[in-house]
Amino acid sequence: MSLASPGPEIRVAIPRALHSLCDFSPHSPSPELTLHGADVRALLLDLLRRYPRVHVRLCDERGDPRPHINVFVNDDHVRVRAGLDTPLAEGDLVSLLPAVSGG
Amino acid sequence: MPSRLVVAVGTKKGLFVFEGGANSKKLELRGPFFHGMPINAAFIDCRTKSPRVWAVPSCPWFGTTIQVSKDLGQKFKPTKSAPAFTAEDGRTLKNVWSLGAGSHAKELLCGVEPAALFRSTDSGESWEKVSSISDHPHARTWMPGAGGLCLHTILHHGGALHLGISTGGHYASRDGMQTFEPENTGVGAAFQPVRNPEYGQCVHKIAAHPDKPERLYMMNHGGFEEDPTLGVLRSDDGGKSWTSIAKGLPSDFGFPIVVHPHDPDTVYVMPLAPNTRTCPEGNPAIWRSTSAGAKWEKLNKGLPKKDAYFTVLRDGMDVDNGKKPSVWFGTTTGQLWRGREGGDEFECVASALPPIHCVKVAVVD
Repeated sequence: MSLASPGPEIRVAIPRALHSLCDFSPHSPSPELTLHGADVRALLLDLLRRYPRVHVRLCDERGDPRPHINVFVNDDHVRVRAGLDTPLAEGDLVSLLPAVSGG
Repeated sequence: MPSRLVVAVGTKKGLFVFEGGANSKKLELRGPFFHGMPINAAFIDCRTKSPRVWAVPSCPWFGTTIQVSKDLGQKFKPTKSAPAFTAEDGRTLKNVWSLGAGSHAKELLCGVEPAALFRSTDSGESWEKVSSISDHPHARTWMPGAGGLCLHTILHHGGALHLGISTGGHYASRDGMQTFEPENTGVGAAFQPVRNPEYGQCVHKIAAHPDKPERLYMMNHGGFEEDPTLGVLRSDDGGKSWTSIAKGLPSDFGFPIVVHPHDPDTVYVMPLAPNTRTCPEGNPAIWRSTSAGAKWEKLNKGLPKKDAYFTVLRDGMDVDNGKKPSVWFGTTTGQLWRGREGGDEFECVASALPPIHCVKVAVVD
């Protein structure tokens, strides 16, 4: 992705536990970030650039989502599409959700 | 202000802090802090004028933060960053296993999984990898044990920095962390093709007393019937070579080993059944030696006499530094025990915490 073309505007849902790092308005009914990226990988780079404190909680040192963080594009987990290379289009909703792992 | 007793208990589901007078019967319980997050490493730092309680929540979902309290665990605040590898390094941090003092008041050292050491010189705000051990030529050949490939022991002692790595063995630096060398003569590994490899042992914990700079104690991975001399070791040459002190114990398998704060000859272990890693015969006991491992005595007054099958993990035992120190241990069944008078008699301080990973205790002014 070139710097001249930041990619389409994408809505990004962030786990509730990290909302305090996102500068959301407390009255926002559906807090989402607005980021840009032609694919998921580029979107995560935009997250790193604009919200580094959120990125470090969701992604590891290589920039990949942490093992217990799932990434959905609209209704699809990226693993059933093209992983981090899944292309994004204007208006897509990318959800970064913690897995129901643990115990 | 009179002396205060502070106990930091890291569990599978957060940090609990107990506080009370140094000799008081009742302790106040605070927490859980970082509720739901595993705490493998805690540290009570008494180098500063007001002691600091450190805790490291390693969240499976959102990663690791370094947290510090300047008011004995009333409230915690994250530092600006936590240890992390670079993208070029290729490794990713899975867990923090140890946090300890560096060589000056603002220096902290942090041992992580996969096994590596990080240093902060600004009280935990920023971190850098210590390449001399983290990128040691051996590092990429260390193998993980059941707990993962972790650097769990950081011990300044006798002018050297000693590290315990599972399974990497014991490494020491005698030049201010410029270089590290494996020092494992006499440290066996029954799971390797040769009994005494240069490195690669599954060291569980290392302890020492500052008054005896040449002596260290080690809990190594033992529990092999054909060789009962692997597990509990002592070095009398600053860690260069090690010999068994397990004779007299019911098992040479265990995780923690701690030294009495006022007597370098007094050392404590908790032997476990090797195959199950639980209390032998369901009968828990701390074993104490007042002769640097020459003889051992069983301490179980106040502990359950049967049907107790818990484990005490490598950082689950500590001794406070009061005038009459107590031995403390936390179990994987969520009990915190205090053995007053150096372990002569135990009482259960808390009976239903989450599984306990680490116990750190200090008497602070």
